Amino acid sequence: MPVSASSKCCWVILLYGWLCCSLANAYGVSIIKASLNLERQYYVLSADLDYRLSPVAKNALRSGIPLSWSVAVGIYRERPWLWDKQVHYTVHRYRIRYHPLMNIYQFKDQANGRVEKFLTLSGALAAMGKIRDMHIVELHRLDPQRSYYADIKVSFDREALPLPLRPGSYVNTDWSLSSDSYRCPIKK
Amino acid sequence: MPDKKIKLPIGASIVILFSMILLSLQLMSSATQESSQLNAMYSWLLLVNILGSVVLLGLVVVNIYSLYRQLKKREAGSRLTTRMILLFVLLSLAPAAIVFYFSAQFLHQGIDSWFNVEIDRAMEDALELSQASLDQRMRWHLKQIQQMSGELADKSSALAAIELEKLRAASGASEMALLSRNARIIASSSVNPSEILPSLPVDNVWLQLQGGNDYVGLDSDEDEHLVIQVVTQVDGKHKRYLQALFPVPVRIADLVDSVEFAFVRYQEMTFLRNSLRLSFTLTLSLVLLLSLLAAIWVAFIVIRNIIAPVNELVKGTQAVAAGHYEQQLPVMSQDDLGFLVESFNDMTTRIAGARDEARRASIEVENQRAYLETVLTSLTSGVISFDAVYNIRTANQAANKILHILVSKYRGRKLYDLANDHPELSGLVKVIQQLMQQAEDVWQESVALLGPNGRQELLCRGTPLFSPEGRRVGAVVVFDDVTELIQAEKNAAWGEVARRLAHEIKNPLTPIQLSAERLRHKLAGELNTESAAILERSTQTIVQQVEAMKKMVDDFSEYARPSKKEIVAIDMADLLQEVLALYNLQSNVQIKTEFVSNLPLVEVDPVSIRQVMHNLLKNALEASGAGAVISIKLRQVYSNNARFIEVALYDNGPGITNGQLDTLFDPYVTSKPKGTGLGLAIVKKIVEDHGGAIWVDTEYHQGAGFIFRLPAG
Repeated sequence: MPVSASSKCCWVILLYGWLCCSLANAYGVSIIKASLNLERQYYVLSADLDYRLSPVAKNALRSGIPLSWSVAVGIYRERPWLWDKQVHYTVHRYRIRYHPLMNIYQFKDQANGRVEKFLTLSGALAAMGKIRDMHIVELHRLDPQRSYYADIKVSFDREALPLPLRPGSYVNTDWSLSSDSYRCPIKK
Repeated sequence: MPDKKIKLPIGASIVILFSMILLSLQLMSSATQESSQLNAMYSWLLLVNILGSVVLLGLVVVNIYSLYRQLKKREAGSRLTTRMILLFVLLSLAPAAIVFYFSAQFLHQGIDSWFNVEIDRAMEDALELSQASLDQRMRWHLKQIQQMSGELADKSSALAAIELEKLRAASGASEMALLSRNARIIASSSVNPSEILPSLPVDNVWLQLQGGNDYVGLDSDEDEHLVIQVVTQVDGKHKRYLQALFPVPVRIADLVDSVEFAFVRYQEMTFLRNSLRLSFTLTLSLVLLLSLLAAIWVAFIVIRNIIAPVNELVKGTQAVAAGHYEQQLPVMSQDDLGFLVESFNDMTTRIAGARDEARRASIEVENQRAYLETVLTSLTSGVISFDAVYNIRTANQAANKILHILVSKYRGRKLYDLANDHPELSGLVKVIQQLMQQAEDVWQESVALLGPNGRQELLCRGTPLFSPEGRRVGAVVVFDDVTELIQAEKNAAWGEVARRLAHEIKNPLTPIQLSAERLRHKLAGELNTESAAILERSTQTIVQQVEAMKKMVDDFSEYARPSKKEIVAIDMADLLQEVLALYNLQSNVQIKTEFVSNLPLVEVDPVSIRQVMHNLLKNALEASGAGAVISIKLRQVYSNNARFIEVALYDNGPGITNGQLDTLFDPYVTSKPKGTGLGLAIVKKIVEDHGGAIWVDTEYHQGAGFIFRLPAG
């Protein structure tokens, strides 16, 4: 049976869609592991993140455009009959930029102003992906009789991009650099 | 009180809409400026504008669809609206498209003009020059520190600190530190005495140092000032490292910063080149799209408002064409269209007035016509009207009754058509047609015809009808059935004859009879036997004939005498039983009766009605002879909205021939040798004197049949 042009076209579109999805999955942030531990009356977050930038994002970075992410941590109280209640929410912002003069990558924790410099991008991304002892919430704010969990999401801040890039970043999968939500229990 | 929506004037709505669009576009335009506070809201503003465009597009599509449906239904004003909309869209789209095209071209060319190979190379060269300048300074500081490091070999911490202070001051470094191999600070010196702890090399630097290489690089201090960091190995028993931080002169640092900023900016712009194009084109397209869609939507509203009075006028005209003359349109404006609507309202008011007047006149005419028709219907005379070409126009009920046909069925047809279907009317039709065509004035003619009930005498009168202009427009013919009138006149004449005969004949009869008896008495003894016998026979004959003549004259008298009735209410059945009791005694007669019970009484003269029955029974017995079978039926009938008692009498005699039918009830008409011919004439006279009627039942063929009816009380 001859294959019509329209069915060929459909196949091409499906293949393109699949490829786009695959590539979209290839870039972004993966939360490899995360845990909230109690340390000196504070629940602190330790997480290992894997930042994978698309060539477009790398090119933008090399062109001097800073890239920003926010690590959002929500603490939810589990409820049997209603949706879970958010009891605490905190956001930490990170920015990475390239300095052509010194040929270094600079990573900055916006929360505490900590700046680290790296000769390679991978080094900067690795440093940014290693979160250690990030203060999230005080112990007394959580009811020991109840069950809580943390929802962690790393979002790429498109609004921090230069204005001409913003509209396109919402439709271009090269700029889909956020992570999925990661749920981890809170150890008491 | 009816609910009224508060509506903004269209002009105000349009001004508000365009103001909102302009504000939105202005905000978006402002947001594109990096320094603007709206910069962070750019995406939201873009989304709002896109949503606004989608909403406007939806409104335009809805309006287009609505217009398409109106066009399909061929609604009033839809084609004019379409033409105006198309014209408006063409007039607005063409210049907008031209402006858009050239603006986009200009924009793209403008953006492209920012970038070229020379600037690109110049920027790179500038950066390289800055790097080379700093590199030279770094190499010089490296060489300087490498030379100084020898003076610190194997010195104790205290001595090293003193030496370090000297070296720092000699070299011009801002900070100098001696570090152990495991990054422990052995001694340090800073230009700023408040800084106790020197800054330590980062991991990358340590990695490089552990590889046996010295390190020199650029860094920034806490105040973001450029510093040259030099770390070199100090020879000795223990492996030590000397780190020195040299501040870059402010002028050089500013120049380098400026070059780096420009380079980064240029690189960024180069990277954003396509995005810039897209972004500006998108903004420009959005401006054009919003403006155009808003303009088209407003065009729909404005054109609809302009066309609305025209639509109303079209609908009003259609309503008037359909006969709704009371149609009034709202006057929505005081312009030319408003004046047109007012004129339309005046026109419909006048038409409605004229229509009402015409309707009143029509009702009046109709009433007159109905009245005339009622009068005509109630007339006992037949009336037929004809048009100009002598087609039948109208015929009243009496015409149908007199002619025994439904004349109105021939409305619109010729009289000859009527004659073709009913040949017995051909003589009448011929006379009427001829007289109608020839007569210029009123005419009158008696016409006889043979109807289903025998011969009919019609007295016809006709007159031509003329229009006010004198043109012949038709004719009207009035005719009466005068058969009974003529018969009555005939009967009266016969009565007068009988009275005179009785008077003239009866008077001499008594002297004749007396004279004949006297002759017989005087001469009987004087004559011989033979002569006496002749005399006896002759006088006997004279006396008998005189007696017969007397009886005949008495009968005449009876017929001619005005009836002296004594009217009483009787039961017809009882009266018939009384009469029949006399005949039941005869052995050769069989009488059958069929009486309906509980009949109403009749007001009659019993003596006269007995005579009627006697005459009819006598005739029946004489006609039937021996073995006569006489059947008598009594019943009640309704005719012409009146109750009648009907008596039917049938015999088994020879019956009545068709030739006898016409004259059967006339005086002196008899088929019997000794009859006077007055029996049935007297019967008919008595029945008619009582308001009844008698006729021969022509449907009965086994003998003679008579039916008479008397009005019931």
